[in-house]
Amino acid sequence: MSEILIAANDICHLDSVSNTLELRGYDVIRERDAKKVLEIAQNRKPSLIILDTDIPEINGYEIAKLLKSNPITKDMSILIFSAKEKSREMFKKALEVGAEDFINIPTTDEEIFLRVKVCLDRKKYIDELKNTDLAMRAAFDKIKETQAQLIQAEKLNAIGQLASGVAHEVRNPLAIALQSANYLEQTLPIEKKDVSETLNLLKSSIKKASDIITLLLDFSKTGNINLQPKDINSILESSLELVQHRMKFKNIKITKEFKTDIAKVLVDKNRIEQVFVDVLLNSIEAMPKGGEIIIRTFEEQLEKPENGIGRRTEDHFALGEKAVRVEIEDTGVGISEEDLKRMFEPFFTRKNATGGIGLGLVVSRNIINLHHGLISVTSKIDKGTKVTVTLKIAKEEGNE
Amino acid sequence: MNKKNILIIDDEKDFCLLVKKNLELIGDFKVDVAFNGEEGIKKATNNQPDLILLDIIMPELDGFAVLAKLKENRKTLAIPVLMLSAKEDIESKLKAAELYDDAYIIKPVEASELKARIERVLKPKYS
Repeated sequence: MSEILIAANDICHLDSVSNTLELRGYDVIRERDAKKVLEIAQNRKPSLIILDTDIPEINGYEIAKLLKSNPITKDMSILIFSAKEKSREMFKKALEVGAEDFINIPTTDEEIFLRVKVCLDRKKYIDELKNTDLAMRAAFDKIKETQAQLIQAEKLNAIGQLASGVAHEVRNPLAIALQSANYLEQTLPIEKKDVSETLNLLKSSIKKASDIITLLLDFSKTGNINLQPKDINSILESSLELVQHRMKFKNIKITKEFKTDIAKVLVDKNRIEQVFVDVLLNSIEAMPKGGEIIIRTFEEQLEKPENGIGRRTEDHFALGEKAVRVEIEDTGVGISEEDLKRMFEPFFTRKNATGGIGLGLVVSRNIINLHHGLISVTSKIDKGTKVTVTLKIAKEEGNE
Repeated sequence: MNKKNILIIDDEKDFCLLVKKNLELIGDFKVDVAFNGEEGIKKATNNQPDLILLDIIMPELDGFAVLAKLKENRKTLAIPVLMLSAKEDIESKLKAAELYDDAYIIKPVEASELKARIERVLKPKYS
């Protein structure tokens, strides 16, 4: 049964209203002190608060105002009653402070009961509506999310089909072109500089076209991943080894700030390595005059809601969840805010001069998504870029 | 030393002829070509080449079917087969491996790499 808080200073008023409602089966809390009324309202959240206008220190209207201005109690149903004359003025005032209704006493038990019932019913409907609204909003969000995922999957699927078709159709003529170039290498006077340069240009163009197809195929591969508990520090070490040759003579300093004994992460080693290699290559490319790459690994309790953390049921991380974070920071040319927004768009590239085709980061994000992890980029022009990868910690059992 | 006989089975005529030219130019090979699976099997059976380069996507008999037939036939089952295909997917590579290919090379490929791969497959026969 609904709990009703009744506040009046006059004991006769308090009793007469309370008794009427108790006889009808309601649980009643009686209170004479205004401050306690506020306290009880906040702590016990009664279904209805009935206030006498005539309470010392803070009168019924003021109490109603205070309740309506507190986020915890603002939606509570309030009924004001008074034993004074001039009820029309009072009724208006009661409505103004947010009360549902007003009763002038003395009156019949029947009227008190009916007015209380109307208030409680209205409150019940409003609560139900609110809950339905919340549920619908949640469902709507979920539908939107699912739709976005479906569109993304559909896009990937379409690209995949296109790519595998293109792969065959384009690679065959490329194969002929390359064999032709090889033949010319054997038969033309290769010692002539412009001949050998032209042939090399031809061959590197063929290779680039072929690489694009490989990337397109990679990009659309949502495929299966083989998740195992792994040590992130050693994956980073092996990724660094893979890019070692690209750093030669480039005056790049590598600083490793690895947390020792870091929790194992649940990853597909090869795919994650692919992500780190791509990020490292971007960093190297961003520092043509040399610089520093700082790589950090650490564990972090995710306390702040961010994109992908804690806001929605689909988020990969819950608030308070512990995760492993990898930061790869460079002192390179940086990325403008405008470009930063488009970093994860397919075919968006800033590497025109060196021939990137702008799928690297998209592939990386797809891979990280498959791991239920997060990847984000922050950057400042002429200061450098920081890529943060957040990964799931593997459960204790079954560690390698 | 005798020249090694290579048979290329590929429906891309231009590709076959260029590979033939290149291999004969840079390697110690004599290269024959077949532009479809049926013809390829016939030539393999009759001429007994030392090695076969086999495309996968071809009309009618595809490379997998040709490979299976070559490995069923006593006359051709010992001839090493190098798949030479534009298909890069793992399923194709696995399928070729199950059918006993000797190597899987993805197009486009440099003539010098192709030569090196052929020589490596043929090497045990030299010793």
